[in-house]
Amino acid sequence: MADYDVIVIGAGVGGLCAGSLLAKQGRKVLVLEQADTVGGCCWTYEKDGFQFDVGASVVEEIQPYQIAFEMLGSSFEAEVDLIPCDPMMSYIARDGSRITYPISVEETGRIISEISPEDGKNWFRFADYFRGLTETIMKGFFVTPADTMVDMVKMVMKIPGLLKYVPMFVKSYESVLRSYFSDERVLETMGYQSLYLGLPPELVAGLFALLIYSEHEGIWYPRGGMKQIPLAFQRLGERLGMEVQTGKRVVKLMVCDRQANGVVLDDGTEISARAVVSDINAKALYLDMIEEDQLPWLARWGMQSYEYSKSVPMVYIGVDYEPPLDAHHSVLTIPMREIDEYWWNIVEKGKILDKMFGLVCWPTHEDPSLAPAGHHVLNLIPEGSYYLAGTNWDAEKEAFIDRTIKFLSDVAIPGLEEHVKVVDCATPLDFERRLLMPRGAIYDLQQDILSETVLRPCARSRAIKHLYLVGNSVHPGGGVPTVTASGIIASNLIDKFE
Amino acid sequence: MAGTDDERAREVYVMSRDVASEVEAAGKRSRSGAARKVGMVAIPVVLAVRYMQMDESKKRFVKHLAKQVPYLPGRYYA
Repeated sequence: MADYDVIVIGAGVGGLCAGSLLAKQGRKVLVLEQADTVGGCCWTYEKDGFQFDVGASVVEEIQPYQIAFEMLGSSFEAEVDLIPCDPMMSYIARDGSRITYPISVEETGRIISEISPEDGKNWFRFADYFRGLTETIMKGFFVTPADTMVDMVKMVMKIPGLLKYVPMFVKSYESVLRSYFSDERVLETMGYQSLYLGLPPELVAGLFALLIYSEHEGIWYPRGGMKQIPLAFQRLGERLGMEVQTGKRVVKLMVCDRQANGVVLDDGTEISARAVVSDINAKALYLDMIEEDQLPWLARWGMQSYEYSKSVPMVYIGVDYEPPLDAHHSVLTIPMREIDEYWWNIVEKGKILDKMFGLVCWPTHEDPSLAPAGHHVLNLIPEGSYYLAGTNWDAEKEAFIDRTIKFLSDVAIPGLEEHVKVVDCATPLDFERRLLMPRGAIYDLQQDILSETVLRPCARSRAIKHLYLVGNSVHPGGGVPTVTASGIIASNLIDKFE
Repeated sequence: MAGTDDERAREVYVMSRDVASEVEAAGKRSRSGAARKVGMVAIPVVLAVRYMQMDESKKRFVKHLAKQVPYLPGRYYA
């Protein structure tokens, strides 16, 4: 007799979503989390009166959340107080000039037309095409399993409109954008988003140009910080009997005859279960937590072939003035070609950028309660790689913080340097140590076209029976809405097969 | 023994028709075999020419995908 019906390893959003949905099915569920809090990268912590988001910064692609909370007998809007964010994004160039796009597609077209009338016209063509793709995807792509070719055939039969977008798989993100837009300043506002996939514009598949459009469907910020999402799943799950234990680190998956039947904690405790759900990096799970003789060689070979996704340092700043920014999200941009060069000359060679580019999140723009009165919070996500040639992030951390704040103050946020009250930083090494994310990989595994859907690790493991995977490592990929979707997929598969 | 001239003529006609159809089938096989050989040479040549005409950025995209192809069976199984 097993101790639990299901053990979930990791209390990230994917693990909590799957755990709560499994509790809703009437199963006895235990969620084990090695950290002191749930949520993983989707968490908000307090320091000296300021509330900082650890990683995830907004809610977008809202449909998977709505489906999950409806399955739990509630609604996303009832559980999390969502504040709409508009403008969508502000782009700040190296010369300090700014372009700000609102949520409205029409208004964005007008702004682009002022820069380039021809690109303005093409924006509407672009938006129409990718609106079609977004609507097609929302018909079920996110929450449909994609483990086998049979799953893919079923998906295409369910959503035949997907076939129309196949040509986008064999073009690069950069070439798709250049086929619509020619003005380099316009293109500069669209290059950064390829790094959401962890790769430069020339290596990401054209399909993902969707990211330029998708935020125009709406973005929101949860009042009280991003932690409200995992807390809502935990609250509903615990009401249904789900048990969550923090500070419990799983070091091994118990496998017998290629069947998962429990876990071993770092203190040697064994806990048995009829099925196990993993919400940790799939490469770490298969290669470090399963005995070699239990894993078929083909699965091992496949897992070894994945690269880890990108890592980033985060800088958290509390300030005593209203920062002169225009939106919740601002991107410090560089020309699209320079992002490609950044990839080959900085990331691949293990250097640190002297001049920051990346994302500036301003959550107190929407929710002032995250800081003391008259104060604000800024969460910076500068680009930076895990490996540094001849040094490491522990040695570089302080200088990196100073350089980043000075550069921001000079180029994008005048006065910042003089108004800093609180500073904190999490480097890729910190993420690796605190959240056990190998190489600080924020999306677990690489996210290009040959590591998606059937080529991403299966939600229902083929190599180990009774093992299921959720989170960034599986379809539909990295990000909070997508890991929520993976929780729905895993719970449906367990409902069907266990 | 063959019978009348008419019967012999009919036999010759049938034999010649069979031979003709065999020759025709062999010709078709030969043409499809040749077409396959031409295809086997032409397709890689066309792809190679297309690749050489690409700019460096597109070449890096193709290389990035191509180097992952050998691992796809393992990824599908994982």
